[in-house]
Amino acid sequence: MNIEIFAIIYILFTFLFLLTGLPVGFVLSGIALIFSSIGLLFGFFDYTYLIAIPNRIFGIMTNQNLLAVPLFIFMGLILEKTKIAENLLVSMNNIYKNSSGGFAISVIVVGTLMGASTGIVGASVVTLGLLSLPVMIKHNYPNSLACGVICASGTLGQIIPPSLVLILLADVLSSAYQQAQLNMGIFSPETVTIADLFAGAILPGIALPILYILYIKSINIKKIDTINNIKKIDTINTQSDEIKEINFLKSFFPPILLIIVVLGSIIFGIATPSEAAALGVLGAVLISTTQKRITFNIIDVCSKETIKLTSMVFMILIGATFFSLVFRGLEGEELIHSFLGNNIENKNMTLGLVLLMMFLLGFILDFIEIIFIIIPLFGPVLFTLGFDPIWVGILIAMVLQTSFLTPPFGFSLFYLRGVAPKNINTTEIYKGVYPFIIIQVLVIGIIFLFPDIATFLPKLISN
Amino acid sequence: MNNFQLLTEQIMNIISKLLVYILLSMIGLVILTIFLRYFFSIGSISIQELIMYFHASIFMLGISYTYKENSHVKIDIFYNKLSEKNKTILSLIGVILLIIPFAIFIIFISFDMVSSSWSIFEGSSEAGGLDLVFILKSLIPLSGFLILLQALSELFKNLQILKNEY
Repeated sequence: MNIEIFAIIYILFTFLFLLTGLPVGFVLSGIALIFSSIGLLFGFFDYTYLIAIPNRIFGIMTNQNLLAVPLFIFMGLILEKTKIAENLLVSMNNIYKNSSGGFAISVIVVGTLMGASTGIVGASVVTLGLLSLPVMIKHNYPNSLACGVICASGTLGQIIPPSLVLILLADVLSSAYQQAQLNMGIFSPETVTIADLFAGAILPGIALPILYILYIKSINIKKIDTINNIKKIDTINTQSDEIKEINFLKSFFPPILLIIVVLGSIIFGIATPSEAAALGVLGAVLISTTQKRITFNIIDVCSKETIKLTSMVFMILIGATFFSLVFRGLEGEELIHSFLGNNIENKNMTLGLVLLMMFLLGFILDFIEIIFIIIPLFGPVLFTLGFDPIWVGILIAMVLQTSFLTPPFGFSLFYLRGVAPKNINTTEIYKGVYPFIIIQVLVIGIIFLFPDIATFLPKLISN
Repeated sequence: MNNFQLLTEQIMNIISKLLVYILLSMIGLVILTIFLRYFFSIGSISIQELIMYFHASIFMLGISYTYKENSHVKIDIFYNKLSEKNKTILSLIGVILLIIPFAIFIIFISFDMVSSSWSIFEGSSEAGGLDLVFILKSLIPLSGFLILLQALSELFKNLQILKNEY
């Protein structure tokens, strides 16, 4: 059999088995093992690719960048489980309830902060959905709008640093970039750091929530709000403003300070990402201690959850490494080259094609799989064409985020569906996210046309 | 549950407790290195490496525990629509076709690397580092062994379900 056809069958089988619902990491490595054995049996697969596997695993075990993964997960879980984020939303609602579209805006602001602090998309959408969906519906927000705002804001954690997406992207992009440079004969290759990607994501990460808010302001929710306020003013017990403000300060500033310290120390090179994350853990524990929210039970739950999420990420990484080694052994790289072509003139088309593929894959795969499987395959080819790795990284992060929001398979929509009341139609959720998807696509287009938006800050900081 | 399943469950419980301590110690050590560096200008390579060892242990040992807790990511768009019986059969296929071969393969393929590391009690490549690289490398076959235990336990469990219910 032609080895190229065999490689294509291998990819198809992998995706087929991924869709069965068996654990992703085990599917990747198990199918890779089966196909490499067949290849060995018929003599068109080189055994040395398999011998490399323990060394690859050892490389993953000793990778310093990935140390930050369990630490950031732990920090996020502490902030989530101690309800610091939840508290934020409640006090924001108090402040904003008199302005037009106030509840929607407070969902966006809190979603942004949760994105920056916990960065766990599922958790953000679920928390926002549980807490603010009933409130917005009670205040006569259209169901679709309320759902759309929650999904879009909860998904911001993908792009807003520090996010797991960007940490994993930095590691994978960096090795793809280095490999591309080695292929071109550059033997002291440059790298991409986590700090680079964090810095690059700041402008897009700020622009998105601002555009969301502008959109909310542009549609007329004011009417709905004022009708309601008239009713509300009579019924609501007038708390003294002072109490509200203290509550607001207490719930608002500690998390913001934490985010600034963690993010700032990474971007300005004061601490490594893992050190900053450990300080973040310390800070989160301190905040929740002052608010008397932390217990040994919470620490135990968060630890076990961290162990599970970390193992899950690394099992996929090991599986994806196995997958791409075998793919390479089946001469898959030539396949990718012939698929993408080496057309320098049309290189933007090539990039667009890869991004489109990631967008579509984002419907069925989680971002971790896409980053670990797709980028090692396509990255080296892309960077041989001379693209800026930070720019490409930000575009990928944006595309994955949009994919998360897009019906019918977007992950965020599933998360919200899981907690939304039964009387809300799934189609209403779909209808609600469309405006936000359009905003995201616009931002992707702008970044595509003006790469400086992504690369300006990293350059400024590294100088 | 048979004795083997009970034993596996106990091992996984011990591992999860051990890993909680390892995770918390790791966080403590990272914070310690920051303080040592900023207040005493001390940078210790052995502490850095200990952090790395802890990190590696968390996921190398944690993969089997995560498997037991059914927390590995799955793409369940179609899976959720299957009947209970088909889900059980699918898990059986996965265990026999994918997971057990993978676990055995990991033990087998890492044998050379680990045994040569043990034969010289391989140490750190950096001066002042921990001379325990042979133990770090042993995590690879150990991880495979634990996945194998859990996979066999799942195999028994699913067979039992099929036998009892259908």
